[in-house]
Amino acid sequence: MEKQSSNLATQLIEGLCSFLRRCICAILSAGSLPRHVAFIMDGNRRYAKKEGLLEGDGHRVGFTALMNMLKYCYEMNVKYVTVYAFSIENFKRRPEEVQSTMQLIQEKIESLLEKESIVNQYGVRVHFIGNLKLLSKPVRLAAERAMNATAHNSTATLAICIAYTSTDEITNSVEEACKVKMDELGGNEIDSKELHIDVADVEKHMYMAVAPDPDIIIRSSGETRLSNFLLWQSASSLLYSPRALWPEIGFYHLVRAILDFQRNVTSLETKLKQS
Amino acid sequence: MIPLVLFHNSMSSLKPCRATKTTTGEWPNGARENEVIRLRGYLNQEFMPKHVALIMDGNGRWAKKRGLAVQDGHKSGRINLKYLTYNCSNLGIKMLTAYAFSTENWNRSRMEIAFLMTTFEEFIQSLVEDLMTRHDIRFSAIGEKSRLPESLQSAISKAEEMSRTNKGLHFVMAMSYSGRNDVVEAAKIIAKKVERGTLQTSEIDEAMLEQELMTNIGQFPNPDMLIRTSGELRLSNFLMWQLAYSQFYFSDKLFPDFGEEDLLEALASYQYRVSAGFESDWK
Repeated sequence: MEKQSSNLATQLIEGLCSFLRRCICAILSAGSLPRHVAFIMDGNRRYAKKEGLLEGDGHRVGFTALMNMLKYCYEMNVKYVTVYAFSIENFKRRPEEVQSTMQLIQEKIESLLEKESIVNQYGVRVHFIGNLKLLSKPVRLAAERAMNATAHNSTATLAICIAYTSTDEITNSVEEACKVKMDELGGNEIDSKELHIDVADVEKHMYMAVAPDPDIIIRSSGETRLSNFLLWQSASSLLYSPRALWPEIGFYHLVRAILDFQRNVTSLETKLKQS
Repeated sequence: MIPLVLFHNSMSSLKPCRATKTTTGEWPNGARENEVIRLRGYLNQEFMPKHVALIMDGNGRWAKKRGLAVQDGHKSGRINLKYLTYNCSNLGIKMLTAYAFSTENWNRSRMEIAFLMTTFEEFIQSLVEDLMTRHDIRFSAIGEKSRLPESLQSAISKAEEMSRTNKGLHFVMAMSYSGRNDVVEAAKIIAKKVERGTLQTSEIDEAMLEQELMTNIGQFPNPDMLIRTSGELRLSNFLMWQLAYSQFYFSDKLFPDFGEEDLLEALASYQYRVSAGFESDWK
């Protein structure tokens, strides 16, 4: 009886929060909304230390925060969301920590494919962005399965950057562009054209070619660096650094970021017209 | 703006008690000097950034606020840049890269562009006459120099040649520069090597690409911190690859108003973050 009533209370509160969120979304959509929001999920380990949890549990709480933020973004009709899950630099951590993080990632990738997951709820297509060859086989296979399973979804896109750094992405893109051009040259034996590479060639082979440039990049925990994330794509992105640690981030921070974005969009447009 | 407020909150003990300026916006006698001395006291030479990057935004808005022409804003900006260079040199910073003119700026009016080019020439001239000889400053320019007017190009090469062996602050001026173009030009050089057969595509790596970037001229090619004035919270295609791990500091002040005390505050913010240690999940 008690459990039923507490479930009912939780449902009522959930329903009320959801209604309030929808009101705020309606108000915000009076201005322009960002098409693509990117998150650097910083602060899980510090949160665990602060709350006296085991290190791995910080990441678990962080995952819940991520699911909430995704829900808020998709409710707001943000079509593309990118998250920085694991950098190539992070492989340099203690092997036990890397191992446990990888296990958690694999577990969570598999949970994404479940029926009630956010992916199916909002019709999200999942992409895993990065040098996937650096991942262990089980994680890589799970990622590929997730990508195949969601390939038919078209309402929204989620790009998870794993084994990723922006400099690696650019280097790989240059390598691919050179390969493609060499193949083209090799085919034409009579005409020796120069191996000509331009901006479009580099952009074509980027891992992140699946999404437009981010409008907002949100890094939690107050740090003001990009840490080798989306360097190429962030040329005109608004950078927002709330002080909350990643597990503490919520709807409020997303709203503030969007309000800042709306304030900047008008000034950016006038500046672009001027310049 | 929330991010700027947060910076100040995190160093509330360092936040200066601003002395009130007079109605003309001038500091009362001695107050600015006291502010500067107070902030200098907080700085630790051990944590001084080696390479500072600077986006000098807000000249036009500064002029508009005072009812002046845009050209006056750029002139004030030029004078301010010289003082900031001098201050950085005194503080022991090794490299200063300033974003003078981006490739997007070529879309501005012909008159403004012509005026800017003259301003750059005057700036380089004043550097040569003053800071280079007295403070051993080395000058370099990066960007698509071929698009600049002839007189500016020759001023640049003359200044670079004259100061090549100087051992003081290395001042790098980015003119007609774009971070993306920098990477693409490096990619073109590598592509040529692949075409000639001296390089296999599988051998292309990050270090190779980094070596071919335009910024590979000084001892510290990657900035430790980036300062952007006028409250814009974005990178605008400046030093894209090189800013991978740099700290960003965004100031609300328009560039001609960004004085020594603001520079010291930016450096104090950097030092506070660096000395606190990188506890973050990400480098």
